[in-house]
Amino acid sequence: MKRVAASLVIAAALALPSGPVSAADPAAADPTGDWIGTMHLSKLDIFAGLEIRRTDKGYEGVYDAISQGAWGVPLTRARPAAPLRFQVTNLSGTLSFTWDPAEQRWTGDWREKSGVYPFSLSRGPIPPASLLSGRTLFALSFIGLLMALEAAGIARLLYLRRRRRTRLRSA
Amino acid sequence: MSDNPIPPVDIKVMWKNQPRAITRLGPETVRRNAKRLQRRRLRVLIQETFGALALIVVFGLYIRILPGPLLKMGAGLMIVAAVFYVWCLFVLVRPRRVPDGAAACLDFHRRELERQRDLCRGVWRWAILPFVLAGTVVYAGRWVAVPSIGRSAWIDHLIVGGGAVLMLESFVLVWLWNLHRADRWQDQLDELDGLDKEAGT
Repeated sequence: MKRVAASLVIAAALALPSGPVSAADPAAADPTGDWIGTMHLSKLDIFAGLEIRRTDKGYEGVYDAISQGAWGVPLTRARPAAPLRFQVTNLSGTLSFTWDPAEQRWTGDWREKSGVYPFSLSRGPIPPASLLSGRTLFALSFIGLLMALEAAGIARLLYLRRRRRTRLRSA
Repeated sequence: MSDNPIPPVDIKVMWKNQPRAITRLGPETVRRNAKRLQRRRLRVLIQETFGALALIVVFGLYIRILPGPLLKMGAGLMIVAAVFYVWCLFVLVRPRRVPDGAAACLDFHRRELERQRDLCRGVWRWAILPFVLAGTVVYAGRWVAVPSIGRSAWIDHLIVGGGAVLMLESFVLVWLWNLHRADRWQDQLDELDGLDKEAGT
């Protein structure tokens, strides 16, 4: 569970970044596009991907923890600089990469209080997100059932109040 | 079967005009009701205090576990809301001693019923609103946080949004239930007023 939590922490870290970077170095690759790689935590490897696109203010995109089944964690405010760097203010962590021309990939790491974990990205397709797992279906059904029960309770109480008001008016 | 059945209209009139079989409130009944109300308050006080303590423990753990400042802040606000709730309980719902004299007991019970009714009517202010605010921050934090394992972002948002709506619906239900309770207290007050009128005549 710790590993799962750690992967979530990293994913959350990527969700609220203040700014990656890139290509001040002309030799560096354009970071736009799909990137995949493995994040090596202390006891767990996470297969993950970044989908990065260019905007007026820099780069935006999403992080996908593919092996964890979590897709679409937003990345924002990535500004060009070298190396490619995501400052994660809400978790006091940093994700940074440097372009490795020999390997043709971004080599970097995730830094947080508990340590520094290597994470490298190569260009490659990101598999599509799965839609509804059994757990998700259960959660949606459970919420729907509770909402229906509560709505019935609210309707009943509103009816009782209305009936009382009518009774008082007639009395 | 009778040869002369009573016409339905007459039955209705008879039903309406029948003497009331309801026993009027006597001093002993009032005392019993007053004591019951105070016992009920004590029970509510204990139950709700334990509930709030459990909430404080759970959200205290959440502060450590959950990622992101918004979720941590929401968990912190939830603890503040729970502490405020317990404080309000001890100030407002604390049981009191029922006086001995019949007149004093009647007067005491009336005041306590009024207090109870007003507490129920104003429950949104001291019990619901703080939790709604804290819960909103928690759900906002959950909204911007990482999707759960095995979920894409939009499904995660669907579940989080559903959870937020469910939370608001629950609070509406609690509010309406308390209004209903307030009506019941008001009915008891009206009954006491009827007793007073009878005593006056």
